[in-house]
Amino acid sequence: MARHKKTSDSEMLQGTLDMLILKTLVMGPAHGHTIAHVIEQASEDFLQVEQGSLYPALHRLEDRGWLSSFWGASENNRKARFYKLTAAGKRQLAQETSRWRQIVRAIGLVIGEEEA
Amino acid sequence: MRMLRFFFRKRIAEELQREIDEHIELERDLNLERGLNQEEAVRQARIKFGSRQRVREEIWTSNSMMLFEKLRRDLSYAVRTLLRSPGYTILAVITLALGIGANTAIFTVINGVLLRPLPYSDPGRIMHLEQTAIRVGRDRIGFSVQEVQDYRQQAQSFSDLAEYHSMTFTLLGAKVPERVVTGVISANYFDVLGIKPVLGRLIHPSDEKLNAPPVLVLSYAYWVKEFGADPKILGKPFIMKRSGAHRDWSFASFAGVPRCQRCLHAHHIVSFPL
Repeated sequence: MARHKKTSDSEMLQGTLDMLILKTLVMGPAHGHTIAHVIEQASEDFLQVEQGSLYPALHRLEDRGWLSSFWGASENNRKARFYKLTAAGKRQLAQETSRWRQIVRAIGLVIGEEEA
Repeated sequence: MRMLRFFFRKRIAEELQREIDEHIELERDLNLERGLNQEEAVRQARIKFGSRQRVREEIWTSNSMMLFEKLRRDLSYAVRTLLRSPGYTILAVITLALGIGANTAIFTVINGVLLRPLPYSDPGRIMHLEQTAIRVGRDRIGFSVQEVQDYRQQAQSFSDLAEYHSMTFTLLGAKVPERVVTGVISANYFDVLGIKPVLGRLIHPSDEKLNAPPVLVLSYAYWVKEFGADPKILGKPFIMKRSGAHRDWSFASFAGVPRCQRCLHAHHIVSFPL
C-alpha cells in the first residue's frame, strides 16, 4: 500500500520537477545538492526527490536555455557546479506556474470541495 | 546547441561524474552530522541519490544524436568485419581502384578530345576531310592541287574550304634552332575556322599571292613558351629550314598569334601560307 502511494507521488513529481527546480533558483544560484534539499524542506518533507533524477532535469533545463551553469565554491569550499536562472527561465517559470494553478483549480472543481 | 553537446559528450560526462561525486560527498557529510558512521553515511547517501549509472546513461543518451550514432556503429562494424578477412578486402580494394582509375583516365581523354566543343566559332559545322587510295594502301594521302580546286568549285555542301598540311621545319631566329611541327595552310584557314589573333594579324588571302612576302603565325602555346608572350615579336624575321628541301624559306615578318588555347592542331604551330 505504501509502495503504491510512493510511486504515484513520484510520478506526479517528475512531471513538475522542472517547475520546482526553476522556482527554487529564483532566490539565487545553487548547486544540485542544495536544490534537492530545498525542495524537500520547503515541501515539509512531503516531496522526496530522487536526487539522481535531478541531474538529467538540470541538464535538460540548461540545454533549453532556462538555466546557466558555472563552477564555484560550495559551503565547505569544495568545487561545485552552480546553476542560475536565466531571463528566459524566469519567463518559463511564470508560464508553468500559471498553467499549474489552472490545472489544480480545474481538478479541484471536478473533485469538489474537500470534506472537512 | 544540440550539436555542440554531441561533440563535447565526453567532457560533459566527465564533469557530470565530478558533479555526482560532489553531491554524494555533501550528502555524506550531512549524514555524518546526523550521527551515522562513515560507512553508513556513504551508503545512505548513495541510496538517496539513486542509481548513479542510470543518471550518467540518461545524460549521455540525451547528448547523443541517434542517427550519427547508428551510422558510426555500422561503419565501425563494417570495417571490423572487413579487417577480419584481409585478403578479400585487399582484392576488393585493388579491383575497385583499378576500375575507377581506368574509368577516370578514359573519360578524361575522351572528354578532352571528343566531348568538349572545339574552340572555333560554330564548331558544329566544321568538317575534316581526308582521302585514301584503297589500292595503294591504307594511309592517308593528300589532296592534289587540282583536286582541291575541284572541291572548291564543285562541292555544294561546304561554305568554304581551307587546306592544311603538316610538315616539320627547323626554325631559326628563336633562342635555339628548333624543330617545329608546322602547319602549312591556305590563306583562308583562320577565317574558315573563325579564329581571331591575339597579337598582330593572321593570314589573309593577300599573303597567298606569288609575290607576297612570306609570313608566319605562331601558335599561342609556342609563343608563350618560347618567347614568354613577348609582344615585340611582331615583325621579327625568322628562317625556316627543311632538310632535303630545295629551298629555305625565309620570312620577313611574323604576323600574329592566333587566339586559341586548345586548337585541334595544337603543336608548335607555325603556320605559313602555301
